[in-house]
Amino acid sequence: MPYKVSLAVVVALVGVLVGCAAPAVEASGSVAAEGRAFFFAPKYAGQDRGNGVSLVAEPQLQAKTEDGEHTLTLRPFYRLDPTDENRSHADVRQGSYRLSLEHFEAGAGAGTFTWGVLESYRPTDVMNQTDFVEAVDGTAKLGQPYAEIGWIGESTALRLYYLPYFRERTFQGVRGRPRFPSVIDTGSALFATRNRQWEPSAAGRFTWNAGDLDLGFGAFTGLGREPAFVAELTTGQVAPRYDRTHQASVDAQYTLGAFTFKAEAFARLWSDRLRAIGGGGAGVDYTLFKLVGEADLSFAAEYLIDRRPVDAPITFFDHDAFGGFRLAFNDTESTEITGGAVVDVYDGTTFGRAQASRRVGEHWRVSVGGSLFFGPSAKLEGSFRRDDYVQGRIAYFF
Amino acid sequence: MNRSKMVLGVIAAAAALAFAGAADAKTAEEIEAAGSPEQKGQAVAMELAARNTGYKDLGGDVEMTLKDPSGGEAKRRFNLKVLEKTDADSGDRSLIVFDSPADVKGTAVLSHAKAGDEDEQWLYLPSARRVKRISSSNRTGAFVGSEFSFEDLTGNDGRKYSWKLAGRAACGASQCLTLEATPKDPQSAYSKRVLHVDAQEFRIQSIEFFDRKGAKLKTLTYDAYKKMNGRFWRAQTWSMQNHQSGKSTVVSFTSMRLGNGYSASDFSTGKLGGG
Repeated sequence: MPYKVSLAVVVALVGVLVGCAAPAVEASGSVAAEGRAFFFAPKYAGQDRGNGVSLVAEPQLQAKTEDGEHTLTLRPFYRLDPTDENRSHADVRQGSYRLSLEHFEAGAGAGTFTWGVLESYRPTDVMNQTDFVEAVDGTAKLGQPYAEIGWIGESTALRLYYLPYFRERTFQGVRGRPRFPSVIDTGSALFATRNRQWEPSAAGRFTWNAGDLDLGFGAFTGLGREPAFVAELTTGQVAPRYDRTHQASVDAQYTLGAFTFKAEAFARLWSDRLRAIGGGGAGVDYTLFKLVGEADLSFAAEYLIDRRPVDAPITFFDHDAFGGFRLAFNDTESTEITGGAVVDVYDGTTFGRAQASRRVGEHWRVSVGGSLFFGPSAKLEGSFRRDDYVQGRIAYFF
Repeated sequence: MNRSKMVLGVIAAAAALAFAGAADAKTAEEIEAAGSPEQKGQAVAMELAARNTGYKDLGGDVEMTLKDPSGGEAKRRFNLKVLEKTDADSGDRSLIVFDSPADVKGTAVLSHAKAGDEDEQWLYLPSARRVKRISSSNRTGAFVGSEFSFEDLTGNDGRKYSWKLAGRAACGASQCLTLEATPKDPQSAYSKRVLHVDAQEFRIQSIEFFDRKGAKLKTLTYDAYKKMNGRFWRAQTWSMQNHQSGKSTVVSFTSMRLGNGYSASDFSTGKLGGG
């Protein structure tokens, strides 16, 4: 398992660093209990009702030398789910060594990297695999094994990544909820490359903060993170297939007073036949500062498009509009209410979500929220119809 | 010119500059002797800036205590790094990295103050692994639920105000110059700030903030002044009292050092998201 390899490397490096420089090791992170209750009975054979409490741990150990030049970080993740054996899973979100000099950086291990600027969904964000069993909206990512070098200027940065190992997307088990009508047979994944998961990928990113404009350019070549689905005639199951992908992307953000204008786009060549895929999105954020007292209210509106061949990996966000809000009270407890919905403008498929959270004392954070799904059953993203749920979470941070 | 002559020349020039710098330091009496109240105010502001020039950088650990009128308290701990402006056109740069409360640990706020322009600020959220720009329209907002606004933290560049010397008053055991600073920025939350600066060492003892309606909103008191690196007076405790809400915030440095050798790249946006 790759995360065990990176874990061993990090543990060894921690030993070396502690031995020679004795930097302080800082522990932080969180443990949480998360309860979910679904409104309706499950639709698919073998699926569990899904009500129950799961436990999540995401601790972090970090050792940094006094001058800040050497940093070791270990951030494992574990979820224990009461019903779905696939949702009970472990990962190393980060397990890395970083060298940081004045204008040069280098790093290696496993890590999480975020590209793109949009709030609803970031189509240019391709370095990390999606931890789909963790969140069906694609916001959770698996730690990606990498080696990196970077040149850092005053307002620019260029980073090059070598990605030696491919992480497969996680999918819900037969009892899992919400899930697709078919259980994805992750054990029989197909790879277009001879080395399978050991097919290396490479990526590069250049960022530039030019006054009020923040620009990012990305490039990726290797095994694409999005799977296509293939029916297995012998078992009746569905297997993911991963193909070669080459991608160039750009993202930009322009801040003008209370407005932020955002856009990102990618051009992709997919599979060995180099089929063209293009997509992206644009949007605007607007904030009413100090609406009442110190509370700020922000609105976001975005539109996402994507054009791809029918046999290419399916995307949920091909002609979708997003509207969302965030009410930040800016109080001692950092109370916050967020909500939003992505709507497919062609067929009305909707993912909606709302959450309220606040700190309790110095170490606790509680939140309540829920997710709603509407859509035609004929489409894959309609799979989650009547999987609406409410969720409560209590987390301890240390 | 050969190399040794060039070195000599540079040393001579540096010595002349250093001498000029020392001769430039004015006393309160010299400033008060001549000029209009505006000219005198401007002279005090320049003197404050001059006495503060050359500290290079500051690093320290801060404990912030938020108090409400009913006696409730909440604590924030963060590390602060400041880089002195390198030329006349720029402003100081600062980086705040939170240590507590635990759920925001690692959150960073990077500020690039600008002399004649709006300051630039970015927020790094470790949970989302993302760098977000803080809108300049948010400067009047509260900093992490405290009585300090973003404007209070970065708005100390003398060039952002019109100055006026209003007179003298006793402050504690010493005499203070009373200085009125009117913000040039119409978006500022304040109609004016009134500074009390001791006439001996030009240390700001307190600042009163008046809201846009002219009512007294807050008072910031500087305590526990320490002379650092032989020249620079730095208050180790800052107390902000909000007169309208009754809330207050106390900032205490548990450690502070000048001249740590920070470089501009430590305050670059490129490094913010790299960790």
